[in-house]
Amino acid sequence: MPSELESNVRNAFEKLAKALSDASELIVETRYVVVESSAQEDLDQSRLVAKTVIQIDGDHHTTIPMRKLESEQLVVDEDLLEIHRESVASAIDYRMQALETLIDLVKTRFR
Amino acid sequence: MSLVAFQFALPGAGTPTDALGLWQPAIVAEEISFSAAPSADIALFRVDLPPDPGQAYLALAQSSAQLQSVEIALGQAAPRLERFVQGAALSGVESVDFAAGAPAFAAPERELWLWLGSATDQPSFAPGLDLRSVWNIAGGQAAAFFEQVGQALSHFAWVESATDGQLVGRTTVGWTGDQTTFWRDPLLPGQVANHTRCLQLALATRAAWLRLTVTVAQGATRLAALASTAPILALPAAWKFVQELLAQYRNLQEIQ
Repeated sequence: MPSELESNVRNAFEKLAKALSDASELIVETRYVVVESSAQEDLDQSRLVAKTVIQIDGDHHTTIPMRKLESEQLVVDEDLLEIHRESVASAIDYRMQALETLIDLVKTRFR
Repeated sequence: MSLVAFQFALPGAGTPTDALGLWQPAIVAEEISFSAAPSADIALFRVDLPPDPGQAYLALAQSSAQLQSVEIALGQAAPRLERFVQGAALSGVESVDFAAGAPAFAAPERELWLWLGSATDQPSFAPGLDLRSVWNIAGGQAAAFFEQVGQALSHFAWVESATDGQLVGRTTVGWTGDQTTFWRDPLLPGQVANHTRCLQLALATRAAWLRLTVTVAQGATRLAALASTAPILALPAAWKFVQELLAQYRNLQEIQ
């Protein structure tokens, strides 16, 4: 394998490995934006509805979406929470896949 | 605009190609009309689905099946290359005599044999074929793909799903898996599930690119030992072999 190509890919792997080794937490945010019309929406005006932070030592905390009933009682917005749960599961899955890929590469003889 | 579009872009890095055949290149400035235009530090995946839920489901199911066939093909590539190397080595002692005739290989191994034979400077081999130029093309494709994978790996993934051209959701995924997802409100039934599947497709594609890179690199290393007179041609040979294998599985999937 020509050295230029090898170093190109190897550098990318090293960046990923360093990012993973430096990462002490996994952050997942869910935001939404209300669409007023069919015009292009501005996602930068989105509002945070849920956030989960998972730390490497196993601690985690989640900010969950609530909505107020007419009776002023606060209840969990189950629909938004379910959407957020999907995102958290996806993020955990990605982190695990990235680690597995790196482990596979360590096993690989690249020369 | 077609009803279904799977698009990929690396802003600021020219027109990319998906060696797996799932994603089409997108020109960011023209094709992405959402606000907050992607910066040059992201790898953009965008799926535009038809408004009909059944058609949208079918499009995603077909793409998932295509990616699965790619994973199966990549799983086959390394052992088949290894068997090829062992079989070819048996026909020679110090070095392989390609002109002596190929062992009983199946395609695409037969073509690989032909290719490696062309690298041994045996003029009678494959007369009438300009294999040198084909080598150059394959080598260029492999080099471009490797560079692209390096860039895609070191960029955030920016995954967007849209229905009939209108943005539904956007997820940015950092190197470490940190995610932020934007949703429009209101959402129609099925749109959350569709966006999640688009996200899975994009990340699985990135993983498959990595696997393809490793497979070709390993294969090139093994072939270089076999074609010792022209080791530099091992990379295009491995690239071509894996591409042909992928094409075979794609054709098989289309028949099914």
